[in-house]
Amino acid sequence: MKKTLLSLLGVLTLALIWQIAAMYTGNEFFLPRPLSVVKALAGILGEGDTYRVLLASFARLFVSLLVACMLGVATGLAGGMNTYIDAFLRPFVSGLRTVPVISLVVIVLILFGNILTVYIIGFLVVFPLMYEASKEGVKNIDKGIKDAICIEPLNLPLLISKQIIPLSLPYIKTGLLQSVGLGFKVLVMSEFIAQSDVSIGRMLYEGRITLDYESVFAWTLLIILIVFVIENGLGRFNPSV
Amino acid sequence: MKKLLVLLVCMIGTLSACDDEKTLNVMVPNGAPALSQIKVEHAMHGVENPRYDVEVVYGPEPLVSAFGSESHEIIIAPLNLGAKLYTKADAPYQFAATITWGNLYLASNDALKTLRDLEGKTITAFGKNTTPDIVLSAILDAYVFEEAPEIEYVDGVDTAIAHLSENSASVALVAEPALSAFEMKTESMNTIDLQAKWETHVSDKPYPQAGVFVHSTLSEATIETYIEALKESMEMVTEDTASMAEMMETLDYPFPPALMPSVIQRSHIEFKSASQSRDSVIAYFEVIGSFNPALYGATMPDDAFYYDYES
Repeated sequence: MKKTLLSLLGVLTLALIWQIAAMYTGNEFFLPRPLSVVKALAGILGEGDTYRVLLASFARLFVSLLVACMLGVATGLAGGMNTYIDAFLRPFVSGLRTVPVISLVVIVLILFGNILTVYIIGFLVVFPLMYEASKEGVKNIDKGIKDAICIEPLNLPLLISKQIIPLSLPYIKTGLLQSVGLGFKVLVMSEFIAQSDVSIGRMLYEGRITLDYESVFAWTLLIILIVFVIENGLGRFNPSV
Repeated sequence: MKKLLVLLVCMIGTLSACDDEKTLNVMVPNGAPALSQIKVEHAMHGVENPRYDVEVVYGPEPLVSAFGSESHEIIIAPLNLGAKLYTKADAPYQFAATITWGNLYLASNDALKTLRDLEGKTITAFGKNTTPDIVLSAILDAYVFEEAPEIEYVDGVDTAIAHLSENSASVALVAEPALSAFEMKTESMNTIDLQAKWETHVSDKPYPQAGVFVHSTLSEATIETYIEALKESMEMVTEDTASMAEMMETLDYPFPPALMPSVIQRSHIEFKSASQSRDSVIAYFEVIGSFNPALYGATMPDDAFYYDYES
């Protein structure tokens, strides 16, 4: 309760700093006041098209996350169980984690066009996270349990599904929690650069080209709220690691 | 008493001279607008206390920021952007002149001479809902097709050009200087000048692209001195591309000098004062307004928007 109150106080402090900055600037066009942005957000939420846009962006996020999670977990578990596989995959994973996302977007956009780019970028950002999380999950299985697993007469698929995955699950869930928020932010950026039709990024882009900064702020506020809801929602199911 | 008056007049004169000699910050977007003023920029290159400190930028954000923060006394910007910031953000800048009049083309490796050649085709275009898209759509809307062409949007002019190289039969909306750069790499390229088609099918006046915006605190003499220097630069750019190419190399411009004759010819660089441009501006905003009024602010700028300068 005390923590919630303090978080609320933090939000109010941010809003106050914003309000003071807006008053200091004295130009609603360039820096709209919090209340104007909240009103603009209410307007956006009152439009039917907004939900079509949100649904389209979530669908892209879901597809990227699903593919990245499936491949990331599968390869991550393999990498955790076998150091040779890990050594082979390490350059891919390290490379993806090191390359700036903006470079990835530009390269993928040139190679694959603006429709596929958002999916590919989502995958490329989430895959290394899920790989590392799954690999760490396997590596951190208690040594005693590992020894017990070794002497149990289970075949590999059963061993993975009945033992390895359940025991690595806390790490995988943490990876997933980080991936959803990060994936969503990167997805919006990719949509913006690729100017994907019917997307949150496109709404930000249109606000930018028409110099409608109130709308840009309102969509940004909506993105913050969405990420907050997603991360908190998933956090409730996340066991402590 | 007389001596005191003379002294006072001298002091005021000195102060005004100081104001005139102050370095003026000028912001200009890259491309045809930057090329138009290259002589001004070149003359200031390496000078310790330049009269004009020219900053060449990419994209609209630095321009919007300059209008908002009033960091630059002179800003060259797309006309619709300047007008919107004048009407909606009370930016204290006046429109002094138009310097470029469109650089948009339809290009194809296939037969493309008239709008009729677009029958039933798909045009790859960039900048959905922005001015290039509106110019194209206004022309297509005004022309009667049996089977109207469809528009497929991509993220930018580079991608539109990539479509041209992938499919020789495709048609793309392109802009200078990217068009000339691509043309150098292809054997045959057919183009339709959208500026000419605009004047034939949409409006009897050309559409203004980039304008010069001057801060309201600048003195008339300061503005006129800059305008004269700018006009001189534009004259050189359109008549002596060799000198311009040399200046580009000195200033590290990212365009190959060999492209310049074609880029300049297709960029429609021409000086027209605010009053000379006024009818074109109004006609242009009326067309934009019928597609996306938010692009210029939905309100026609008042008389004070136009800086009263006669060339």
